[in-house]
Amino acid sequence: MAERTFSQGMIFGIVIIILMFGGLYYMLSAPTTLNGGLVEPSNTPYTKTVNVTLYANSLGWDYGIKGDQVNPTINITTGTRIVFTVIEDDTAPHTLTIADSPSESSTHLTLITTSQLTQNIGHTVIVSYVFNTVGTWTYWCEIHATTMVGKINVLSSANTSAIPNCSSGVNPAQQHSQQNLNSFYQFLLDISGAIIA
Amino acid sequence: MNQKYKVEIIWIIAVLAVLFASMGLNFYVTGMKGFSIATKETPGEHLNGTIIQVTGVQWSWSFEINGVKSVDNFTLVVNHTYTMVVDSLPVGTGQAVIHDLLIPQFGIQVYAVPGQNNTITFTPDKTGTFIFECVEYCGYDHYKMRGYFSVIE
Amino acid sequence: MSTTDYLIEVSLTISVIFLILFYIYYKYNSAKSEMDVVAEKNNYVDTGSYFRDKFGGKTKAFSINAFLLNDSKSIGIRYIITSIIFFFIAGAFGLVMRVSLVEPTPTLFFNRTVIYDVLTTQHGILMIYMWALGSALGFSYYLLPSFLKVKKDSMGGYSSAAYWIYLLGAIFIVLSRSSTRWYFYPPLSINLNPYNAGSFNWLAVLGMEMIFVGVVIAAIVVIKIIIMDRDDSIKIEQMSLFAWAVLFTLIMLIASAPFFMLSLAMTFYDFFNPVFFVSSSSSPLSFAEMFWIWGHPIVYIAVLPQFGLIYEIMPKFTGNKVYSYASGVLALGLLMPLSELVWGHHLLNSGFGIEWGLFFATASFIVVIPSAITVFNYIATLWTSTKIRMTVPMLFVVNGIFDFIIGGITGVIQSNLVLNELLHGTYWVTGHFHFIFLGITTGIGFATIYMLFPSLTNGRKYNVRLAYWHFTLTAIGSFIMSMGWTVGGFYGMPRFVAGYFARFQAYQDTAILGGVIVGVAQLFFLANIFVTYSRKPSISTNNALEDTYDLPTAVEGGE
Repeated sequence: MAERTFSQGMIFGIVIIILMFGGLYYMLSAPTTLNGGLVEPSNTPYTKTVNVTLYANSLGWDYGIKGDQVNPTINITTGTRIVFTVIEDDTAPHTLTIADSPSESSTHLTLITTSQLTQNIGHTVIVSYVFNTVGTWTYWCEIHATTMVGKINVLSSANTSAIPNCSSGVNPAQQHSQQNLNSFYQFLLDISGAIIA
Repeated sequence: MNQKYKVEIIWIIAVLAVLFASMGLNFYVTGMKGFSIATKETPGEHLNGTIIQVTGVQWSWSFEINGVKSVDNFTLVVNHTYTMVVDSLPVGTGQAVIHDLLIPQFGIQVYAVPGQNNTITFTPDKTGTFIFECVEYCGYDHYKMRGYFSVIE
Repeated sequence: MSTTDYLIEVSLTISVIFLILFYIYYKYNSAKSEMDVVAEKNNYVDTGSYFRDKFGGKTKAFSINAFLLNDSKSIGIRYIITSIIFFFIAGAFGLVMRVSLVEPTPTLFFNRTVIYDVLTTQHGILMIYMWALGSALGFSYYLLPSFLKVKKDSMGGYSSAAYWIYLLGAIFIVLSRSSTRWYFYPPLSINLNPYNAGSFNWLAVLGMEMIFVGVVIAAIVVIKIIIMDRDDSIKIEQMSLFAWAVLFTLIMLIASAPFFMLSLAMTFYDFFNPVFFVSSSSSPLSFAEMFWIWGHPIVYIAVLPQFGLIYEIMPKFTGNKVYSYASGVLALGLLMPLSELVWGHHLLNSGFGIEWGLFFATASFIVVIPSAITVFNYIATLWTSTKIRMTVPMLFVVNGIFDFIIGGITGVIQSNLVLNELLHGTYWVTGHFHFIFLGITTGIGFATIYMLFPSLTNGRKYNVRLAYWHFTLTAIGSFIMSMGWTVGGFYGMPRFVAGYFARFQAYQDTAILGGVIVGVAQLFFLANIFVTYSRKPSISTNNALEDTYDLPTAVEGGE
């Protein structure tokens, strides 16, 4: 009775502990808004400031605002600091999220979260971001990603020719299932890649 | 009949008696309450009070009383009969989801099902500030679908 | 990357995977047919049993062999091991999510309330399908052959395949990080984004479907064991109450599972083309109806086998027989059809109208009768005993009966239509079923594991002091936790929320205290595994539950 030995059955207990913490780690690392991966450059010098006012409506940025295009495309040059003024236009929750790629990617930064922008019509939140990378950026609302998507074209300071606006003619309902399909394919790819590797 | 069977029969009868009493109570009490379903085609069938049009969206409640719309709060008059017509609407192009409005201090609860106008009639009998909340999980900010309403003289 | 490119890449990848899989299957199949020939020469119907007897020896204990052999004891051990592992995983999820509610506004996860949603969903699904259902299947596979004196195992291959499908389904659910609740209500669950159901909720639906396939196959095999493999010396009117309980449970499972399986398949179609459960072409409530036709029986499936186990454990410590065998069978038999009739009480306020409400409220009252008969039977058995030995399994049983009475009463009160409007969707419901799930499902599950400990661990006895601590803390903690919820729920505290009105903080903090105590209690069980295994094994591996029993010898003579 007094002597203690190691036996294979203890592996069972160890397996329980490992799986417990592994599962917990996996769940706690679930992707969320604050965990986008794109980091805002701090203390970046900027050459000029552009003010952009966006009305957050679930049917599209600036939807129904007179004389304004829905989901406006913003053309700027590098080193520009955009001051976003986001105004709640309906009673739905919205975010303002940006990514440095032409579509909503996994590497993104949520500038305004649902808790910052309350759901009272007219509530205004002001944030700013300095764009230093040349290319097509995307800004969207994470909750209404099918409708509230716009582009930010960042050109190098020398080249200031205009870029044609991109407009999307896809039916929203189609887009919804398209999005689901894409997530499906992406997952299959991930899984198959993992298996092959 | 031996002792065991006697005991068994006694406990079955006792349970049945208690249950029938509570069943009768159930029928009696529910007869007094008005809550039913109205379809979109026949919205006015069971309505017998000031209509509050309640709309649940992700993630807020909006209340429309006599044409005045308010989000996540509203005001009622005491001892006045109200009928809530509860619906759920989609936000943007997504699908509307199921919500469930609970007002615990008045003991009323009604689901907000997309495409269906559920109604419930009640009469607030005390003044003060009361809470309401969504009790059917409806997404990210589900817990924020709550608020205070007041009952005034 | 365009969709066409995706399609080409994905189809190529899948083709390669399937080629490899087919090759493996080909190799396996040719080896299998050789094995079948050898087994048939030796007069065995089940190849797995032949190889167990020939090479593996008879498995009764936790070991890796259980995952390789496919006789009923091994399958039972597989399910028991899996259910314990998932109990700890889901328990850790539950503990973390409970602690995160310490303040009215969610602060613990840095405002990431979606973590709470994911943890809640995983806790619910894994606890019900992996722990409650898994342990019930495990005990059935493990104990029934000895209770029914089964002479030969058969259909081991089916059981084994069913187990792996079931396990894979559970892994899919964990991987999906779905944040819809365990009931998958569609308009929410077909919105695949982090703000609604989670991006990979379709994987959870797939995993759930696989769990069902596995469980239904296993249920058919166990029913076959009870009906057809029973020894001739045991007549059906004399077989053990546990066998009756499992039989009724599994018939109920097979009768109700297709509804949810079908609605899951329809949900899966809805991901790509929303037609079935959206308001534009149908009613979202139709899913809820189909779900609860399964969803109510599942909560009985989680307790009925444990009722049977109480009937088996109790006579070992009271010294007398079960008070009334006939009324025990009658009650278990009545629970089977009645529990399928009451599913509507989960939807009382959803707009079905008062007539539906009255029908299902009345049916819910009637379902109390068999539960009450069962409880009175337990009490009468205890009452007529001359001396009750309060060992750890018996303590779990007594606590289970106590918790079941409280949980049952809080449940039946709720089927009153007026009270239901107040209590539906609040923590009252959570308290109600945690009383029963912690008292009966978990308590009796651990009582049975403690009873089987000498067999499961090669003849080692569990450390009694640690087991006492395990019991005491579980009983106290679960009572505090469920009471906090029940009282708070009566004042309208909503369940399934990451944040709440500050007025409910006292009840939530009480529940957190209880939850932490329950969590600590399970560590004593974990410690018990280490302490027990550090001892030397003894020769006798008999346990008290199967005292009059020999392992089934495989088929002799091929009949």
